[in-house]
Amino acid sequence: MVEKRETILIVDDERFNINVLKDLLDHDYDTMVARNGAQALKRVNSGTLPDLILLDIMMPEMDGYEVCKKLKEDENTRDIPVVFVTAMSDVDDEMKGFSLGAVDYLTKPISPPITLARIKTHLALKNSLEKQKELNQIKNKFLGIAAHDLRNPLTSLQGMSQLMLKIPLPEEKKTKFIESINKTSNQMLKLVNDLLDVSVIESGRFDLRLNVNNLSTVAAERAELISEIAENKGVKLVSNLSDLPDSQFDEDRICQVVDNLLTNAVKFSETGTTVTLTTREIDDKLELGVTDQGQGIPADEIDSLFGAFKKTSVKPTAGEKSTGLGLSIVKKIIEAHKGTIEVISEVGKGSTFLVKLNKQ
Amino acid sequence: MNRPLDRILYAEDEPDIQEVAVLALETVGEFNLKLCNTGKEAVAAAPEYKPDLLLFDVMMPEMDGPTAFQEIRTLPGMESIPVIFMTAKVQPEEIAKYKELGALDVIPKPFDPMNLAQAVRDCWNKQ
Repeated sequence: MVEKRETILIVDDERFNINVLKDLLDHDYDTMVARNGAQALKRVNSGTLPDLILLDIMMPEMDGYEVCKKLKEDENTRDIPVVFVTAMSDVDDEMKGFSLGAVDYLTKPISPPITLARIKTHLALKNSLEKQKELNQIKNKFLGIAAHDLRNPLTSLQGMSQLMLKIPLPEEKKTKFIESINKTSNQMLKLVNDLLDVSVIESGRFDLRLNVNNLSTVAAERAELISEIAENKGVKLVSNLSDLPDSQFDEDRICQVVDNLLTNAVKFSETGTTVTLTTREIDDKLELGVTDQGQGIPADEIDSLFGAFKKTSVKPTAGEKSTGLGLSIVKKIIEAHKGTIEVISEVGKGSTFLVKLNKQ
Repeated sequence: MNRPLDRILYAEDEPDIQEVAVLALETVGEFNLKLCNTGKEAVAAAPEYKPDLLLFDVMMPEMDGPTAFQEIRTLPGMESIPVIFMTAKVQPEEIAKYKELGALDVIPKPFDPMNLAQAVRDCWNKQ
Protein backbone atom coordinates (compact mmCIF):
# COMPACT_ATOMS: atom_id res chain seq x y z
CA MET A 1 0.00 0.00 0.00
CA VAL A 2 1.32 3.44 -0.91
CA GLU A 3 1.39 5.65 2.12
CA LYS A 4 -0.39 8.96 1.71
CA ARG A 5 2.08 11.85 1.52
CA GLU A 6 1.47 14.49 4.12
CA THR A 7 0.83 18.07 3.11
CA ILE A 8 2.61 21.05 4.63
CA LEU A 9 1.46 24.63 4.14
CA ILE A 10 4.30 27.19 4.01
CA VAL A 11 3.21 30.74 4.85
CA ASP A 12 5.81 33.45 4.20
CA ASP A 13 5.83 36.78 2.36
CA GLU A 14 9.36 36.35 1.03
CA ARG A 15 9.95 34.22 -2.03
CA PHE A 16 13.49 33.31 -0.89
CA ASN A 17 12.31 31.85 2.44
CA ILE A 18 9.61 29.88 0.70
CA ASN A 19 12.12 28.39 -1.71
CA VAL A 20 14.47 27.32 1.10
CA LEU A 21 11.65 25.46 2.86
CA LYS A 22 10.22 23.99 -0.35
CA ASP A 23 13.63 22.60 -1.36
CA LEU A 24 13.95 21.05 2.05
CA LEU A 25 10.47 19.51 2.16
CA ASP A 26 9.54 18.60 -1.42
CA HIS A 27 11.30 15.26 -1.28
CA ASP A 28 9.20 13.86 1.58
CA TYR A 29 6.06 15.98 1.62
CA ASP A 30 3.52 17.70 -0.59
CA THR A 31 3.76 21.44 -0.09
CA MET A 32 1.30 24.30 -0.48
CA VAL A 33 2.30 27.96 -0.37
CA ALA A 34 0.62 31.13 0.83
CA ARG A 35 2.23 34.58 0.48
CA ASN A 36 0.27 36.30 3.26
CA GLY A 37 -2.06 35.64 6.17
CA ALA A 38 -5.32 36.10 4.28
CA GLN A 39 -4.17 33.73 1.55
CA ALA A 40 -3.15 31.17 4.19
CA LEU A 41 -6.60 31.19 5.81
CA LYS A 42 -8.23 30.97 2.40
CA ARG A 43 -6.11 27.99 1.38
CA VAL A 44 -6.81 26.19 4.64
CA ASN A 45 -10.55 26.73 4.37
CA SER A 46 -10.89 25.59 0.76
CA GLY A 47 -10.26 21.96 -0.04
CA THR A 48 -7.55 19.86 1.59
CA LEU A 49 -6.52 20.64 5.12
CA PRO A 50 -2.73 20.66 5.48
CA ASP A 51 -1.23 18.28 8.04
CA LEU A 52 1.09 20.98 9.39
CA ILE A 53 1.60 24.72 8.89
CA LEU A 54 4.98 26.53 8.83
CA LEU A 55 4.07 30.10 9.67
CA ASP A 56 6.20 33.25 9.36
CA ILE A 57 5.41 35.92 11.93
CA MET A 58 6.31 39.23 10.34
CA MET A 59 4.06 39.66 7.34
CA PRO A 60 2.24 42.78 6.12
CA GLU A 61 -1.48 43.29 6.88
CA MET A 62 -2.05 40.18 9.00
CA ASP A 63 0.90 38.88 11.00
CA GLY A 64 1.56 35.23 11.87
CA TYR A 65 0.21 35.59 15.42
CA GLU A 66 -3.14 36.77 14.05
CA VAL A 67 -3.25 33.90 11.53
CA CYS A 68 -2.47 31.38 14.30
CA LYS A 69 -5.18 32.86 16.54
CA LYS A 70 -7.76 32.56 13.75
CA LEU A 71 -6.72 28.98 12.96
CA LYS A 72 -7.10 27.98 16.60
CA GLU A 73 -10.54 29.61 16.86
CA ASP A 74 -11.92 27.55 13.99
CA GLU A 75 -13.05 24.05 14.91
CA ASN A 76 -12.03 22.69 11.49
CA THR A 77 -8.46 23.96 11.65
CA ARG A 78 -7.84 23.90 15.40
CA ASP A 79 -5.99 20.58 15.38
CA ILE A 80 -3.50 21.41 12.61
CA PRO A 81 -0.09 21.82 14.26
CA VAL A 82 1.37 25.30 13.69
CA VAL A 83 5.16 25.81 13.74
CA PHE A 84 6.35 29.41 13.72
CA VAL A 85 9.39 30.06 11.53
CA THR A 86 10.81 33.51 12.22
CA ALA A 87 13.82 35.74 12.61
CA MET A 88 12.37 37.05 15.88
CA SER A 89 14.34 35.20 18.52
CA ASP A 90 13.24 37.12 21.61
CA VAL A 91 11.93 34.91 24.44
CA ASP A 92 8.75 37.01 24.69
CA ASP A 93 8.06 36.55 20.97
CA GLU A 94 8.59 32.84 21.29
CA MET A 95 6.34 32.60 24.35
CA LYS A 96 3.63 34.58 22.60
CA GLY A 97 3.74 31.99 19.80
CA PHE A 98 3.32 29.09 22.22
CA SER A 99 0.56 30.84 24.15
CA LEU A 100 -1.41 31.17 20.91
CA GLY A 101 -1.35 27.40 20.51
CA ALA A 102 1.71 26.83 18.28
CA VAL A 103 3.49 23.51 18.82
CA ASP A 104 6.99 24.75 18.00
CA TYR A 105 9.09 27.78 17.17
CA LEU A 106 12.00 27.72 14.72
CA THR A 107 14.42 30.62 14.38
CA LYS A 108 15.77 31.71 11.02
CA PRO A 109 18.24 30.91 9.63
CA ILE A 110 16.84 27.41 10.10
CA SER A 111 18.93 24.26 10.41
CA PRO A 112 17.68 21.85 7.73
CA PRO A 113 18.14 18.56 9.65
CA ILE A 114 16.65 19.99 12.88
CA THR A 115 13.70 21.44 10.96
CA LEU A 116 13.02 18.11 9.27
CA ALA A 117 13.32 16.22 12.55
CA ARG A 118 10.92 18.56 14.34
CA ILE A 119 8.38 18.42 11.52
CA LYS A 120 8.54 14.65 11.60
CA THR A 121 7.96 14.60 15.35
CA HIS A 122 4.99 16.95 15.18
CA LEU A 123 3.39 15.00 12.36
CA ALA A 124 3.83 11.75 14.30
CA LEU A 125 2.23 13.35 17.37
CA LYS A 126 -0.67 14.65 15.31
CA ASN A 127 -1.25 11.24 13.73
CA SER A 128 -1.22 9.46 17.03
CA LEU A 129 -3.67 12.00 18.44
CA GLU A 130 -5.99 11.48 15.50
CA LYS A 131 -5.75 7.73 15.89
CA GLN A 132 -6.63 8.06 19.57
CA LYS A 133 -9.65 10.19 18.77
CA GLU A 134 -10.83 7.65 16.25
CA LEU A 135 -10.36 4.76 18.71
CA ASN A 136 -12.21 6.72 21.34
CA GLN A 137 -15.16 7.16 19.00
CA ILE A 138 -15.18 3.43 18.24
CA LYS A 139 -15.02 2.69 21.96
CA ASN A 140 -17.96 4.98 22.70
CA LYS A 141 -20.04 3.42 19.96
CA PHE A 142 -19.11 -0.01 21.30
CA LEU A 143 -20.14 0.95 24.84
CA GLY A 144 -23.44 2.28 23.53
CA ILE A 145 -24.25 -0.98 21.79
CA ALA A 146 -23.13 -3.06 24.75
CA ALA A 147 -25.29 -1.01 27.12
CA HIS A 148 -28.27 -1.53 24.84
CA ASP A 149 -27.67 -5.28 24.57
CA LEU A 150 -27.49 -5.55 28.36
CA ARG A 151 -30.61 -3.45 28.96
CA ASN A 152 -32.93 -5.84 27.16
CA PRO A 153 -32.14 -8.95 29.22
CA LEU A 154 -32.11 -6.79 32.36
CA THR A 155 -35.74 -5.91 31.58
CA SER A 156 -36.77 -9.51 32.06
CA LEU A 157 -34.45 -10.16 35.04
CA GLN A 158 -35.58 -7.08 36.92
CA GLY A 159 -39.21 -7.32 35.84
CA MET A 160 -39.68 -10.98 36.73
CA SER A 161 -37.98 -10.76 40.11
CA GLN A 162 -39.89 -7.57 40.96
CA LEU A 163 -43.24 -9.16 40.08
CA MET A 164 -42.44 -12.29 42.15
CA LEU A 165 -41.71 -10.06 45.14
CA LYS A 166 -44.68 -7.74 44.76
CA ILE A 167 -47.71 -9.68 43.51
CA PRO A 168 -49.08 -13.16 44.17
CA LEU A 169 -48.29 -15.49 41.29
CA PRO A 170 -49.21 -19.15 40.72
CA GLU A 171 -46.38 -21.58 41.51
CA GLU A 172 -46.20 -22.62 37.88
CA LYS A 173 -45.55 -19.03 36.80
CA LYS A 174 -42.91 -18.58 39.49
CA THR A 175 -41.03 -21.66 38.28
CA LYS A 176 -41.19 -20.40 34.72
CA PHE A 177 -39.84 -17.02 35.81
CA ILE A 178 -36.97 -18.60 37.73
CA GLU A 179 -36.05 -20.66 34.67
CA SER A 180 -36.11 -17.53 32.53
CA ILE A 181 -34.01 -15.59 35.02
CA ASN A 182 -31.47 -18.41 35.02
CA LYS A 183 -31.36 -18.62 31.24
CA THR A 184 -31.14 -14.86 30.80
CA SER A 185 -28.36 -14.43 33.35
CA ASN A 186 -26.35 -17.09 31.49
CA GLN A 187 -26.81 -15.16 28.24
CA MET A 188 -25.69 -11.97 29.93
CA LEU A 189 -22.62 -13.74 31.27
CA LYS A 190 -21.82 -14.87 27.75
CA LEU A 191 -22.10 -11.29 26.51
CA VAL A 192 -19.92 -9.97 29.34
CA ASN A 193 -17.30 -12.66 28.65
CA ASP A 194 -17.33 -11.89 24.94
CA LEU A 195 -16.94 -8.17 25.69
CA LEU A 196 -13.94 -8.89 27.90
CA ASP A 197 -12.48 -11.07 25.16
CA VAL A 198 -12.90 -8.32 22.60
CA SER A 199 -11.26 -5.80 24.92
CA VAL A 200 -8.30 -8.11 25.59
CA ILE A 201 -7.89 -8.80 21.88
CA GLU A 202 -8.23 -5.14 20.88
CA SER A 203 -5.78 -3.96 23.52
CA GLY A 204 -3.03 -6.02 21.89
CA ARG A 205 -2.44 -7.95 25.13
CA PHE A 206 -3.62 -11.07 23.35
CA ASP A 207 -0.99 -13.72 23.94
CA LEU A 208 -1.38 -17.15 22.48
CA ARG A 209 -0.26 -20.11 24.56
CA LEU A 210 1.07 -22.31 21.82
CA ASN A 211 1.40 -26.01 22.53
CA VAL A 212 1.60 -29.16 20.46
CA ASN A 213 -2.00 -30.29 19.89
CA ASN A 214 -4.04 -32.20 17.40
CA LEU A 215 -6.77 -30.31 15.55
CA SER A 216 -8.89 -33.42 14.91
CA THR A 217 -8.70 -34.48 18.56
CA VAL A 218 -9.79 -31.03 19.72
CA ALA A 219 -12.55 -30.94 17.09
CA ALA A 220 -13.87 -34.35 18.21
CA GLU A 221 -14.02 -33.26 21.87
CA ARG A 222 -15.88 -30.06 21.09
CA ALA A 223 -18.30 -31.84 18.74
CA GLU A 224 -19.22 -34.24 21.52
CA LEU A 225 -20.02 -31.39 23.90
CA ILE A 226 -22.08 -29.51 21.35
CA SER A 227 -23.91 -32.57 20.02
CA GLU A 228 -26.17 -32.36 23.08
CA ILE A 229 -27.31 -28.83 22.19
CA ALA A 230 -27.81 -30.00 18.59
CA GLU A 231 -29.80 -33.07 19.64
CA ASN A 232 -32.09 -30.96 21.83
CA LYS A 233 -32.97 -28.98 18.75
CA GLY A 234 -33.32 -32.02 16.48
CA VAL A 235 -30.24 -31.08 14.47
CA LYS A 236 -27.85 -33.90 13.51
CA LEU A 237 -24.16 -33.22 14.11
CA VAL A 238 -21.90 -35.33 11.89
CA SER A 239 -18.11 -35.38 12.29
CA ASN A 240 -15.90 -36.26 9.38
CA LEU A 241 -12.40 -35.97 10.84
CA SER A 242 -9.15 -36.96 9.11
CA ASP A 243 -6.02 -38.26 10.78
CA LEU A 244 -4.01 -35.08 11.11
CA PRO A 245 -0.40 -34.51 12.15
CA ASP A 246 0.09 -32.67 15.45
CA SER A 247 0.56 -28.92 15.19
CA GLN A 248 1.13 -25.89 17.38
CA PHE A 249 -1.87 -23.89 18.52
CA ASP A 250 -3.50 -22.40 21.60
CA GLU A 251 -5.88 -25.16 22.62
CA ASP A 252 -8.30 -23.01 24.65
CA ARG A 253 -8.60 -20.44 21.89
CA ILE A 254 -9.08 -23.00 19.12
CA CYS A 255 -11.72 -24.73 21.27
CA GLN A 256 -13.43 -21.35 21.44
CA VAL A 257 -13.34 -21.12 17.63
CA VAL A 258 -14.78 -24.63 17.13
CA ASP A 259 -17.46 -24.01 19.80
CA ASN A 260 -18.46 -20.74 18.20
CA LEU A 261 -18.69 -22.14 14.69
CA LEU A 262 -20.62 -25.23 15.81
CA THR A 263 -23.09 -23.41 18.07
CA ASN A 264 -23.64 -20.82 15.33
CA ALA A 265 -24.34 -23.58 12.81
CA VAL A 266 -26.85 -25.23 15.18
CA LYS A 267 -28.41 -21.89 16.07
CA PHE A 268 -29.14 -21.08 12.43
CA SER A 269 -30.30 -24.62 11.48
CA GLU A 270 -33.85 -25.94 11.33
CA THR A 271 -34.89 -29.15 13.04
CA GLY A 272 -34.22 -32.18 10.84
CA THR A 273 -31.14 -30.72 9.13
CA THR A 274 -27.50 -31.72 9.49
CA VAL A 275 -24.39 -29.85 10.61
CA THR A 276 -21.12 -31.36 9.37
CA LEU A 277 -17.73 -30.86 11.00
CA THR A 278 -14.72 -31.81 8.87
CA THR A 279 -10.94 -31.64 9.19
CA ARG A 280 -8.39 -32.38 6.50
CA GLU A 281 -4.82 -31.72 5.44
CA ILE A 282 -4.24 -29.62 2.32
CA ASP A 283 -0.61 -29.00 1.34
CA ASP A 284 1.00 -27.12 4.22
CA LYS A 285 -2.34 -26.25 5.86
CA LEU A 286 -4.77 -27.92 8.21
CA GLU A 287 -8.37 -27.14 7.41
CA LEU A 288 -11.41 -27.25 9.68
CA GLY A 289 -14.84 -26.83 8.11
CA VAL A 290 -18.33 -26.41 9.57
CA THR A 291 -21.21 -26.79 7.11
CA ASP A 292 -24.88 -26.27 7.83
CA GLN A 293 -28.08 -26.63 5.81
CA GLY A 294 -29.47 -23.41 7.24
CA GLN A 295 -30.79 -20.25 5.67
CA GLY A 296 -27.52 -19.07 4.15
CA ILE A 297 -26.13 -15.55 4.32
CA PRO A 298 -26.94 -12.93 1.64
CA ALA A 299 -23.82 -12.09 -0.40
CA ASP A 300 -23.86 -8.40 0.56
CA GLU A 301 -23.75 -9.26 4.27
CA ILE A 302 -20.78 -11.66 4.12
CA ASP A 303 -18.22 -8.85 4.36
CA SER A 304 -19.63 -7.45 7.58
CA LEU A 305 -20.08 -10.90 9.14
CA PHE A 306 -16.83 -10.72 11.12
CA GLY A 307 -17.23 -7.16 12.44
CA ALA A 308 -18.05 -6.60 16.12
CA PHE A 309 -21.81 -6.37 16.79
CA LYS A 310 -22.54 -7.04 13.14
CA LYS A 311 -25.65 -9.17 13.28
CA THR A 312 -26.97 -10.13 9.86
CA SER A 313 -30.58 -10.22 8.68
CA VAL A 314 -30.47 -14.00 9.19
CA LYS A 315 -32.03 -14.92 12.54
CA PRO A 316 -31.59 -17.96 14.83
CA THR A 317 -34.33 -20.49 14.12
CA ALA A 318 -35.54 -21.15 17.68
CA GLY A 319 -35.26 -17.71 19.26
CA GLU A 320 -31.66 -18.28 20.42
CA LYS A 321 -29.61 -15.25 21.30
CA SER A 322 -26.53 -13.95 19.57
CA THR A 323 -24.21 -11.28 20.91
CA GLY A 324 -22.91 -10.32 17.49
CA LEU A 325 -19.40 -10.71 18.87
CA GLY A 326 -18.66 -14.41 18.39
CA LEU A 327 -17.42 -14.31 14.81
CA SER A 328 -15.35 -11.17 15.34
CA ILE A 329 -13.57 -12.99 18.19
CA VAL A 330 -13.16 -16.12 16.04
CA LYS A 331 -11.54 -14.09 13.28
CA LYS A 332 -9.10 -12.41 15.68
CA ILE A 333 -8.09 -15.77 17.15
CA ILE A 334 -7.48 -17.25 13.71
CA GLU A 335 -5.51 -14.20 12.63
CA ALA A 336 -3.39 -14.38 15.77
CA HIS A 337 -2.53 -17.94 14.67
CA LYS A 338 -1.62 -16.50 11.22
CA GLY A 339 -4.46 -18.54 9.74
CA THR A 340 -7.43 -17.59 7.60
CA ILE A 341 -11.20 -17.99 7.76
CA GLU A 342 -13.59 -17.85 4.82
CA VAL A 343 -17.30 -18.34 4.26
CA ILE A 344 -19.04 -19.99 1.35
CA SER A 345 -22.76 -19.45 1.52
CA GLU A 346 -25.84 -19.75 -0.61
CA VAL A 347 -29.16 -18.34 0.51
CA GLY A 348 -31.65 -21.15 1.06
CA LYS A 349 -28.99 -23.88 0.95
CA GLY A 350 -26.63 -23.21 3.83
CA SER A 351 -23.17 -21.99 4.76
CA THR A 352 -19.68 -23.41 5.17
CA PHE A 353 -17.07 -21.76 7.40
CA LEU A 354 -13.53 -22.85 6.51
CA VAL A 355 -10.62 -22.26 8.88
CA LYS A 356 -7.08 -22.83 7.62
CA LEU A 357 -4.16 -23.08 10.04
CA ASN A 358 -0.49 -23.57 9.35
CA LYS A 359 0.84 -27.07 9.86
CA GLN A 360 3.98 -26.35 11.85
CA MET B 1 -59.33 15.85 30.46
CA ASN B 2 -59.18 12.83 28.22
CA ARG B 3 -61.53 9.90 28.41
CA PRO B 4 -59.97 7.16 30.54
CA LEU B 5 -57.46 4.87 28.88
CA ASP B 6 -58.73 1.31 28.42
CA ARG B 7 -57.57 -0.59 25.34
CA ILE B 8 -53.86 -0.94 24.63
CA LEU B 9 -52.35 -2.63 21.58
CA TYR B 10 -48.98 -3.88 22.75
CA ALA B 11 -46.22 -5.16 20.44
CA GLU B 12 -43.01 -6.80 21.67
CA ASP B 13 -41.02 -9.69 20.19
CA GLU B 14 -39.20 -10.87 23.31
CA PRO B 15 -41.28 -13.55 25.12
CA ASP B 16 -39.80 -12.84 28.58
CA ILE B 17 -40.47 -9.12 28.30
CA GLN B 18 -43.99 -9.88 27.03
CA GLU B 19 -44.64 -11.89 30.21
CA VAL B 20 -43.49 -9.05 32.44
CA ALA B 21 -45.36 -6.33 30.57
CA VAL B 22 -48.59 -8.32 30.29
CA LEU B 23 -48.66 -8.85 34.07
CA ALA B 24 -47.73 -5.22 34.63
CA LEU B 25 -50.48 -3.88 32.36
CA GLU B 26 -53.29 -6.43 32.79
CA THR B 27 -52.89 -7.57 36.39
CA VAL B 28 -51.31 -4.51 38.00
CA GLY B 29 -52.76 -1.87 35.66
CA GLU B 30 -56.14 -3.48 34.86
CA PHE B 31 -56.00 -2.46 31.22
CA ASN B 32 -57.52 -4.31 28.30
CA LEU B 33 -54.53 -5.60 26.38
CA LYS B 34 -53.94 -7.11 22.96
CA LEU B 35 -50.48 -8.62 22.60
CA CYS B 36 -48.68 -8.86 19.23
CA ASN B 37 -45.29 -10.42 18.50
CA THR B 38 -44.24 -8.11 15.68
CA GLY B 39 -45.06 -4.75 14.15
CA LYS B 40 -46.72 -6.53 11.27
CA GLU B 41 -49.08 -8.40 13.60
CA ALA B 42 -49.92 -5.11 15.28
CA VAL B 43 -50.84 -3.46 11.97
CA ALA B 44 -53.08 -6.44 11.15
CA ALA B 45 -54.74 -6.44 14.57
CA ALA B 46 -55.36 -2.69 14.91
CA PRO B 47 -58.57 -2.24 12.81
CA GLU B 48 -60.52 -4.93 14.67
CA TYR B 49 -59.16 -4.29 18.16
CA LYS B 50 -59.67 -0.51 17.94
CA PRO B 51 -57.10 0.43 20.59
CA ASP B 52 -57.03 3.73 22.48
CA LEU B 53 -53.23 3.60 22.57
CA LEU B 54 -50.34 1.81 20.90
CA LEU B 55 -47.49 0.63 23.12
CA PHE B 56 -44.67 -0.55 20.86
CA ASP B 57 -41.21 -1.96 21.30
CA VAL B 58 -38.88 -0.24 18.82
CA MET B 59 -36.76 -3.09 17.48
CA MET B 60 -38.78 -6.05 16.25
CA PRO B 61 -38.21 -8.47 13.37
CA GLU B 62 -40.23 -8.10 10.15
CA MET B 63 -41.47 -4.62 11.00
CA ASP B 64 -40.16 -2.33 13.73
CA GLY B 65 -42.33 -0.29 16.09
CA PRO B 66 -41.94 3.12 14.39
CA THR B 67 -42.83 1.68 10.96
CA ALA B 68 -45.85 -0.16 12.37
CA PHE B 69 -46.99 3.05 14.07
CA GLN B 70 -46.71 5.01 10.83
CA GLU B 71 -48.66 2.35 8.93
CA ILE B 72 -51.43 2.26 11.53
CA ARG B 73 -51.76 6.04 11.30
CA THR B 74 -52.70 5.65 7.62
CA LEU B 75 -55.68 3.40 8.52
CA PRO B 76 -59.16 4.98 8.53
CA GLY B 77 -60.14 6.26 11.96
CA MET B 78 -56.58 5.93 13.32
CA GLU B 79 -55.08 9.10 11.88
CA SER B 80 -54.28 10.49 15.30
CA ILE B 81 -53.90 7.37 17.47
CA PRO B 82 -51.26 8.00 20.15
CA VAL B 83 -48.18 5.83 20.58
CA ILE B 84 -45.68 5.22 23.36
CA PHE B 85 -42.43 3.50 22.43
CA MET B 86 -40.51 1.20 24.75
CA THR B 87 -36.83 0.84 24.03
CA ALA B 88 -33.41 -0.01 25.35
CA LYS B 89 -31.97 2.64 23.03
CA VAL B 90 -32.12 5.50 25.45
CA GLN B 91 -29.53 7.94 24.13
CA PRO B 92 -31.01 11.45 23.92
CA GLU B 93 -30.84 11.57 20.10
CA GLU B 94 -32.78 8.29 19.90
CA ILE B 95 -35.50 9.56 22.20
CA ALA B 96 -35.71 12.85 20.28
CA LYS B 97 -36.12 10.87 17.04
CA TYR B 98 -39.13 8.93 18.37
CA LYS B 99 -40.75 12.06 19.77
CA GLU B 100 -40.33 13.72 16.40
CA LEU B 101 -42.22 10.79 14.85
CA GLY B 102 -45.13 11.78 17.08
CA ALA B 103 -44.66 9.55 20.13
CA LEU B 104 -46.40 10.71 23.34
CA ASP B 105 -43.36 9.53 25.21
CA VAL B 106 -40.63 6.91 25.34
CA ILE B 107 -40.43 4.42 28.20
CA PRO B 108 -36.87 3.17 28.68
CA LYS B 109 -36.04 -0.49 29.28
CA PRO B 110 -35.61 -1.87 31.84
CA PHE B 111 -38.94 -0.60 33.23
CA ASP B 112 -40.39 -1.24 36.68
CA PRO B 113 -43.41 -3.54 36.20
CA MET B 114 -45.07 -2.13 39.31
CA ASN B 115 -44.95 1.41 37.83
CA LEU B 116 -45.42 0.70 34.13
CA ALA B 117 -49.22 1.08 34.13
CA GLN B 118 -48.99 4.38 36.01
CA ALA B 119 -46.29 5.65 33.65
CA VAL B 120 -48.50 4.80 30.66
CA ARG B 121 -51.52 6.45 32.31
CA ASP B 122 -49.50 9.60 33.06
CA CYS B 123 -48.46 9.84 29.40
CA TRP B 124 -52.07 9.42 28.35
CA ASN B 125 -53.33 12.10 30.73
CA LYS B 126 -50.81 14.74 29.77
CA GLN B 127 -51.83 14.61 26.07
